[in-house]
Parts: sequence; structure tokens; C-alpha cells
Amino acid sequence: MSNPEHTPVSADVRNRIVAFLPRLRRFCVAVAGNADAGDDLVQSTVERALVRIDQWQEGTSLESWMFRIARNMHIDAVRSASKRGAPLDIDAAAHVVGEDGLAILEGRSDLAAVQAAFATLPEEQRSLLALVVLNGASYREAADVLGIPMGTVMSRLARARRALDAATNGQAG
Amino acid sequence: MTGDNDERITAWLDGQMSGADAAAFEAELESDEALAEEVARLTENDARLKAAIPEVPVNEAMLAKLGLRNADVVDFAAAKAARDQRMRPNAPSAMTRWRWPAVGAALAASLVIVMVSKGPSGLEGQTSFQIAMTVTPSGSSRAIGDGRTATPRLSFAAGDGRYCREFSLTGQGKPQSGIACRADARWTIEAIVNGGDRSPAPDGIRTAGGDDTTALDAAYQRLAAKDPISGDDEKRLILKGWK
Repeated sequence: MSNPEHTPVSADVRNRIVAFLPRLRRFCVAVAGNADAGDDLVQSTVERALVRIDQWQEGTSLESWMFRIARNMHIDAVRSASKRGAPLDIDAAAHVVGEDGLAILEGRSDLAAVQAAFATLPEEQRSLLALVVLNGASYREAADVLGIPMGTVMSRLARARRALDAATNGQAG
Repeated sequence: MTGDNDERITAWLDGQMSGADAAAFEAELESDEALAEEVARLTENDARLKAAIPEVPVNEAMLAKLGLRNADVVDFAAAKAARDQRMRPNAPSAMTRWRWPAVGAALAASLVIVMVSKGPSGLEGQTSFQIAMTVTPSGSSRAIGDGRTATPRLSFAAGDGRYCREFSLTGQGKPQSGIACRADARWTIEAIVNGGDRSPAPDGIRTAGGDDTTALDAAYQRLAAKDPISGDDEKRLILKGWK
């Protein structure tokens, strides 16, 4: 029963993926840098997850597994395109924000500032902030997704917050 | 501003401290103004980041594109509704009778947004406010450090699954009422208005409150608020950190 193109996925797994999609999407938009690239990353992540679903071990976190796929695919894509520090597409991100009340509350200039600041961070810090701050992952989950020790999660997050603060509020480290 | 302190702040912001460590840290916050300011600023950065990259629902077109359209989304909703129903069989009748009124939501929602933007600056970035929302049972009060006292009035679940609390602010300045919702371990203010005491009368009918109350009602509409959470359930949520 092994057809890699169409590995059967149970309704339960499919439902879990669907329920998880908004969080995956948020992660992908954050890591990829804008809405369109984020959605492309969501698509390739889901496709790969469905094809390789037999590699996911039941009883482990499906979500962590998919975050890991997304992050690896992003890193691969960046490497193969030899892109470095692609600027964040503010317009695309603003489009994703849409008419969300929060965006209106925060004011466009604040949003643009934090988006620009976030885009300057190294990928490892963006992935971590996306997991923990945007998606509410625990340090254990983040460590699992990124394959780093829990202590590193905390120190790297502290550095990421410090860098984001410096870039947003002009603090000198 | 040592690296260790940065790590403690970060662990506290992310709710990753043990209860004892968190309590010690919060005691420090109350007495160390510089630390409290720093925590407030980093909290605000987090909030801005979350607003800049919000969670966006996935629509049918995207599900189709991903080949996931057959997923039983409808059943999810039905299952959740059934679960919600099961979770509050003992809700006091006075509370279940207190349904959120239907008002001109779209119009009023824009009013709420304007009012929020004029709300107390940085309230949600105030650590003491975050703490008050997290640990104070409805009906109890907690000082939030700027001469004001926050009193949660009730808690409810929003349609998007977040827990929310209506609260009042008294003390310095005009009394205010507001709604804050919790996501990613932070309370975000969804609406705040002057006055707006909307405590239910004993017969379950709210006293008239004018425009301010309408604005809070609009927020309840926009949030698709479910019935208030019973005291016991709220206690459980406080103990579990609203998870």
C-alpha cells in the first residue's frame, strides 16, 4: 500500500492539519517575509507533509513536525536561491493584515516599523519569535522544532527580543 | 541589564517560569521601576509583532488549493459547539439569561476602534495590568500601580476560542470599562470606554448605559462572545494560566 504520491491520510490527520493551518500560515508568513511567499511556503509544506505522512510518528506532535518541514523548506529555498536578507514586502504584509481591527489600532507606522525591524533579524531568531511569540509554542516545542536545547531557546529568544527592541525603539543593545 | 536578566524577562513574558520563580519576578516588578518599564516595553514589542503578523483564517479557496477541502470543517464547528455546551452545564441561570444584545455591530465596531485608540496609553503593556487580568477572579480588585484598580467583571470565550474578560478601571481619572482577550499568553485590549458600568441588574436586565455601553456591546458582537464562564470554571482557568 505504498504510493508515495497519494499516501492515504486519515480524516483525523486531515482535520488536524486543517485546524493547524492558521498557525502554520502565520509562521510561514513570518519566516518567509511576506504574505505571498508565506502562502507558497504553506502550500509546499502541506504537500510535503501529505506525501510523507508515513514519516510522522503518531503520538508525536504533528504540528511540530510540520513547523519543522516548513522551516527546513524555507532554509532550502533561501539557500538554493542564494537569497540573503530579502526585504520584507510591507504591502503584502499589510494586505494580510487587511481590515483586522488590531492592525487599525496599532497604526500603520508602528506596524511598518516592527515589520521592518523583524525582517532585519537572522532567520534563527525570526523562526523562534514566530514559534513562541506569534504561535504561543512552549520552549520545549520550540526546541523540538528547531532541534536546539531548551537553554538555547531561552538565550536566543532573549537576544531576539533585545535585537527587535533595538531595531524598533532605537535602544542601544 | 545583564544577559541573565534578559533571559528571566523572556521566560516570564512567555509564561515559561515556574510558579515560584514567576512570583519572585513579579514581586521584583512591583518594586523595580526600571525592570517594570523594560518588561512593559518588551511586552509592547511582542504585541506589535503579533499585530503586524496576525493569524489569518484559512478560506475554502486555500483549502482547495492545498487539497484539504474534504476535511470536515463543519464537523469541527459542530463538535466545538457541543463541547462548549457540555462545559457549562452548571452555569448559573442568571448568567445564561444574560445574552449579548444585538446592536448595529458594524457601525458600533468602528466606534470601538476609535475609542480604543484613545484609550489609556500602554495599558495592555503595563505588566501589572497583565497580571491583574491573569490572576484576579471576577468581582475582585487588584491595584495596577498607576493609582488605578482593575476589577474583572466576568470572563467569557470569544468565537475564535480566545478567553476574554470584561473589566473596570477605577481610582485615578474617570472610571472606565473594557474588554481584554488573551492570546499567546498576553491580554490584548479589544475595547475600552469611559464609564460603561454594565453589571446586570438582579433580574438579569442590564441598566441603560448610553453610547459607551453600546460600544462594549459592539465588541461583544464582534468577538462572537459566548455566555459568561461560571465562577468554578474561571477559577480553574486562573489556576491553569488560561490554557
